[in-house]
Amino acid sequence: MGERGWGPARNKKKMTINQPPDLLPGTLDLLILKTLVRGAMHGYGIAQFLRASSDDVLQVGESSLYPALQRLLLNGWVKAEWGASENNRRARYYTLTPAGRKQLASERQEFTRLIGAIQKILENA
Amino acid sequence: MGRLIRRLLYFVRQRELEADLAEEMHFHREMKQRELERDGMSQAKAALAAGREIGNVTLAREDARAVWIWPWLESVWQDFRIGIRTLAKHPGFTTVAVLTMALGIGANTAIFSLLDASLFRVLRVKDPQQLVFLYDVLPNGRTSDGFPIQTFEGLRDHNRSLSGIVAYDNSRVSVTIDGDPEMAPADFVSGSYFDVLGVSAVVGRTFTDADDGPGKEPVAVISDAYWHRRFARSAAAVGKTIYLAKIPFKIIGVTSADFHGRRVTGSGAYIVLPMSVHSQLALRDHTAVSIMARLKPGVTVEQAAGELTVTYRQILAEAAGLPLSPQTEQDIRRRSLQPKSGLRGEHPGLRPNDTKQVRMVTAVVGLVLLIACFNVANLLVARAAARQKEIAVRLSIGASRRRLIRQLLTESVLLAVLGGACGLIFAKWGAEVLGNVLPFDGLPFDPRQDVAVLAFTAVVSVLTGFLFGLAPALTATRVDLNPVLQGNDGGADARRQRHRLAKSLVIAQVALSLALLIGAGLLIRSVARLLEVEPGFDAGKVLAMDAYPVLLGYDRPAELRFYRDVLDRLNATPGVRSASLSRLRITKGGYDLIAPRYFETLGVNLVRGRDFSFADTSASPKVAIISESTARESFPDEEPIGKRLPVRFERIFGGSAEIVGVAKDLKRSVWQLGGDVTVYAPYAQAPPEQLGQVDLFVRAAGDPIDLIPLVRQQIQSVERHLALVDIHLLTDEVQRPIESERSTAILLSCFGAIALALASIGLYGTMAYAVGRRTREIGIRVALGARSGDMLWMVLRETLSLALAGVAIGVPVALAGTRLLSSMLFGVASTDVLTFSSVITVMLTVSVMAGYIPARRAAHVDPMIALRYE
Repeated sequence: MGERGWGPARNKKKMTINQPPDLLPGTLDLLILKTLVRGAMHGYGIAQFLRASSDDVLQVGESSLYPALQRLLLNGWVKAEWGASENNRRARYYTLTPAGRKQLASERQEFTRLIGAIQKILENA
Repeated sequence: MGRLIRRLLYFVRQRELEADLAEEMHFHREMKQRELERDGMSQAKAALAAGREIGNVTLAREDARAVWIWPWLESVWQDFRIGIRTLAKHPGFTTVAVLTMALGIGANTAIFSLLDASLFRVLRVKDPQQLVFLYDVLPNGRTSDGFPIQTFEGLRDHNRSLSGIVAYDNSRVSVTIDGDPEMAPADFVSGSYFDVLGVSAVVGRTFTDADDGPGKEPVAVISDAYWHRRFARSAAAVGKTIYLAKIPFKIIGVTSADFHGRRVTGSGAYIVLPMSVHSQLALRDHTAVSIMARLKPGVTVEQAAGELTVTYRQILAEAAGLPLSPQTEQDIRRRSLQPKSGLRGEHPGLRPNDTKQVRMVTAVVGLVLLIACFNVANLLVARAAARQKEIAVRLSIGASRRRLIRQLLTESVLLAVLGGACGLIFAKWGAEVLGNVLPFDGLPFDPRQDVAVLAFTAVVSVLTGFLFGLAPALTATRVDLNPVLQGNDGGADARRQRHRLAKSLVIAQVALSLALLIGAGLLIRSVARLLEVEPGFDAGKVLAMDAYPVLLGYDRPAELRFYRDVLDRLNATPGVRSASLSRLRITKGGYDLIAPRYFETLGVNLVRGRDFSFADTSASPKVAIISESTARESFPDEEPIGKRLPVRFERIFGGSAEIVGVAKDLKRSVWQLGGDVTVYAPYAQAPPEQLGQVDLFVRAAGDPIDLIPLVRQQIQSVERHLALVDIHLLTDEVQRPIESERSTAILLSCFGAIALALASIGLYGTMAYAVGRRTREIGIRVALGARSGDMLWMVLRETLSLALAGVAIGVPVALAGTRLLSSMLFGVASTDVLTFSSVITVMLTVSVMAGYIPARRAAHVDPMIALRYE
């Protein structure tokens, strides 16, 4: 897999989430699920939110965002509906399903455990 | 499961969902661009930058699609390949399983193909959904499809909702081709018939309105079946002259092989003739016609019903003559015309009397399929034991249990689909056999053409694959890894579980096949009882045949003269004891017209008085012979000879008559419960509207079959155009009414035998597996001093206990099932002890035989080898 996307040059160092290997597996899914807890959002909104709330560190490109959303749809964790966007355009809104909520809880736990483990190694080694 | 459903939904709506994705990515890009423009970038630059930031859109779309399709398709393909390889590696197992499934699925496909032909097929003519058949709804709510020809003409000339209308009637006609007379089913149709149906000839032409009318050259169109049978599909048939009732007709065309007239199947009429010759050629009592029509485009059946009923009532009023009496007017207002959709042809579906038999056979083939499934499931369980290690290894190196179950299910579905494919061959053959036995119109079934049949087989195959594969797959993958990998065979738990599953499958098989066999046994006993019933007359040496002189255009004096001549000649023929005739078939009583020597020919005693003679003519006083039951009923304690016939018979006799004789009762059918109340009149004194056709009887001195050519020759020396129809032994006719019971009994016995064979294979397999599994235990027992007889008995005991459990379940199942059968039984209770006990005995005997081979193996286990084993 080559590099598929990059942002305009800024003075800050940032991560572009386009290839799953850059992040821990499943992290993007987790982040999307978490984002959707706030309510229905369209794909662009999700990308914006991730960037804003990570202080521009995480820039999610379309090429990884939409496959991830399809994966979540397939697993039944989110559902999609067409609606009107803030500037009255047709946009596809994603909402969390009950199964998605459960998945979020368990993945979050798993993630915390994993991060804790990594931290431990980094501190002790 | 949810994932699978969502995946399938994605396949169904793929185009739509991909469009959704494209649109939302487009939206994303636009929003991005707008954001960059807000940051102060020029429009062109912003567009470029947005594109760069987002990355390769097409690739992303591919990736998104791959989430749904690729990994899945790939793994399905992988399962499929592994499945094929595994099956090929075990040819013995595969063959048995595939053949078993082929039998089960084939039987069901055969039945379905017949049902499909009779119930679901659409008439193969132009726009069949526009066709309607018209029915007269009478004031009492009953319907009739017979109309006077004037009604047809009235409707033809005054309607707004029809684009075409046809009158038709079917009748047998007497046809002579190259001097060889025979009877053939014919349709009489008004000239527009082929136009309205949109059917054309494959050779020559069909007729039109221009050919239908008085004074036109008589023409005929023949069916493909008749073309094949009488002309070997020679092109020379078109243009040939054939004789119908001695009138020459020219064959002008042949219809195609898939045209069956107004029905979806069956042979249909051999000859189609213009309506204008109907009154000359059809049987005398065919005075009404049926009506078929094509609706104009856009006209609904309801609209047509409304419009046609108004016209119909006008026609009825005109026919009744003005002025109408209030009663007639009211009657007419309560009549209406009802068009019924002709999409599936005239009289779609099964005749009501036949549904019971068809339903039963359908249930039985369903049972056979179930038994076949149990059997293959059993084989799979046994094989799972052999694959323990493979499964354990795959589980231990990280294959998920779900994935393994899917792999195993793929294998069983593959087996079932292979079975289904072979089943199609069975089905073709089976449909032919069943088509002859069951009351379906025989129809050649071609698996290459019948999409509905193919689809049915495919669906049934896949479903049965899941049905018999699921339980074995679940138990096979529930393994305790450690002992298996160490070389034991899966741990006691898994072993016990597998054996329990195998046992319950065998018990179910025994139970179901026992129920089937009991049903078959009851029907066989019932048929035997039916055959024992004495017909009450001596049918053994009597030939019977039909003759329709009226179809040759005979008038009454000629007809009477013809009968006299034929009987005189037959009675003078060497080898003939006596010959006579009657208007009705022997199976119908009540009122019959007969010739002299009727009772002598049938071997029925004349108890008192005299027989009719040729001196009893229309000129002499009317006479009658009555049966003993009639005598007992009408003249208790009186001598009936010399009395006048009771008044209630006068109407059918066309006047009063003197009783000259009393004959013994006939037992006309095995179902006849009371006596035979019949009165006979000499045919020469029949009222003018009766007769026209007769049944001839000839009693032979020797073998009646040898007499057939002579009889034919004698009759045709009187009339060379007369076709003799259906020459048969009277014994066959007497037994014909029980044909459906007999065929059902034979069918059920065949299926019962198949079920029994499958159940015994199941028993054998289970016990052989059990013995193999316990070789070590048996070895220890023998080493400790058990005798080989004990071992033999141990295995046989287990086999018997399985069979007995099956019997214990099977008997209540059979009791419930045979209650539905009881209306088909004669002289046998549905709980007949003899049948139940003999079937149970057969079942237990077969079980012991199936268990004997593994039992003997157990008895001969060598402890030294057995203990070293494993």
